[in-house]
Amino acid sequence: MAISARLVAVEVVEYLDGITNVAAYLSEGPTPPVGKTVIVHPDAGQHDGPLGNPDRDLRVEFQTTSVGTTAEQALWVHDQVATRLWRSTITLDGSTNTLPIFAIPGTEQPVRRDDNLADPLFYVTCSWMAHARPST
Amino acid sequence: MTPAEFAAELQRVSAGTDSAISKVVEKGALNIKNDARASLSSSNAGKSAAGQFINYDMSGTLEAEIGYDKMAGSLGTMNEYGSAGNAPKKNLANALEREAPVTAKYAAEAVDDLWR
Repeated sequence: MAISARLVAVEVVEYLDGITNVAAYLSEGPTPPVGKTVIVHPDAGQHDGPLGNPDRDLRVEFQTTSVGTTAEQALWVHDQVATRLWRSTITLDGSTNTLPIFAIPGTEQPVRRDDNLADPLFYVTCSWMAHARPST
Repeated sequence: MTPAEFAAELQRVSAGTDSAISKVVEKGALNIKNDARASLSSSNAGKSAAGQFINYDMSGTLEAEIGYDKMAGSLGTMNEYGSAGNAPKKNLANALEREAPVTAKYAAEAVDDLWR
C-alpha cells in the first residue's frame, strides 16, 4: 500500500484522538471552531521520495494547530499533543511502514489569538515530520 | 604553481567569496519573495493583498531575511501558519523549499568561477 501525506495525517488524527478531553480533526476543525481541539494539516507534495513508491524512505510533514478558548488552554492542548507525538511511532493500516515522529526545530509558533471569530480563540501551531521506512 | 603562488591565489579567492555569494543570496531572496507573492495572488483576493507586504532584507553579507512586513498585521501569520479556523498556506516555506537547491547550486558555481 502506498504511503501519502494524507494517510499519515489520518493516522495521526486517530492517534491524537486518544488524548483525554481533546478532540482531533483532519484539515478542518468544527464550524464554528471550538476550544480544546487539535487540527492536523497534511503537507502535500513531499520532496525527497516519490509518493506511491513503497520501497523508498519518505519524509512526510504535517502541522498541528492546537486550539483553546484561552491562551493557557491552547498551550495546554499543544503540550498534550507534543507529549503524545514526540518520538512516537505509528503504523499505517494496511502497510508495513512505521513512522517515528519528531518536531521540526524552529517551527513551534507562539500562542496567537484568532480575531476573525465572534468568540476569539487562541492557537499554537507546530510542524512535525514523520519518517516512513519500509520494513520489507 | 609554487606554494607562495598557491597561497596568494587562496587569498585572492577568499577575498572575493563573500561578495560573489552575497549576490547569489540576494537573488535567491528576490526569487523567494516573487514566488511567494505569485502563489498568494492565486489565492483569494483578500489574502493575495497581503502579498505586497512580502519583502526581504539583507542581514549582513551572506544572510537574507524574507517575510511579511509589520504592515501585514496578523494576515501574514494567518496565511503562513493558518489559524483556529483556517488551514496554513505556507507560501513562504514552500517558496524557500523550491529555491534553496537553486541558490545552493549558483553559490557553488560562483565560488568555482573565482578560481578561473
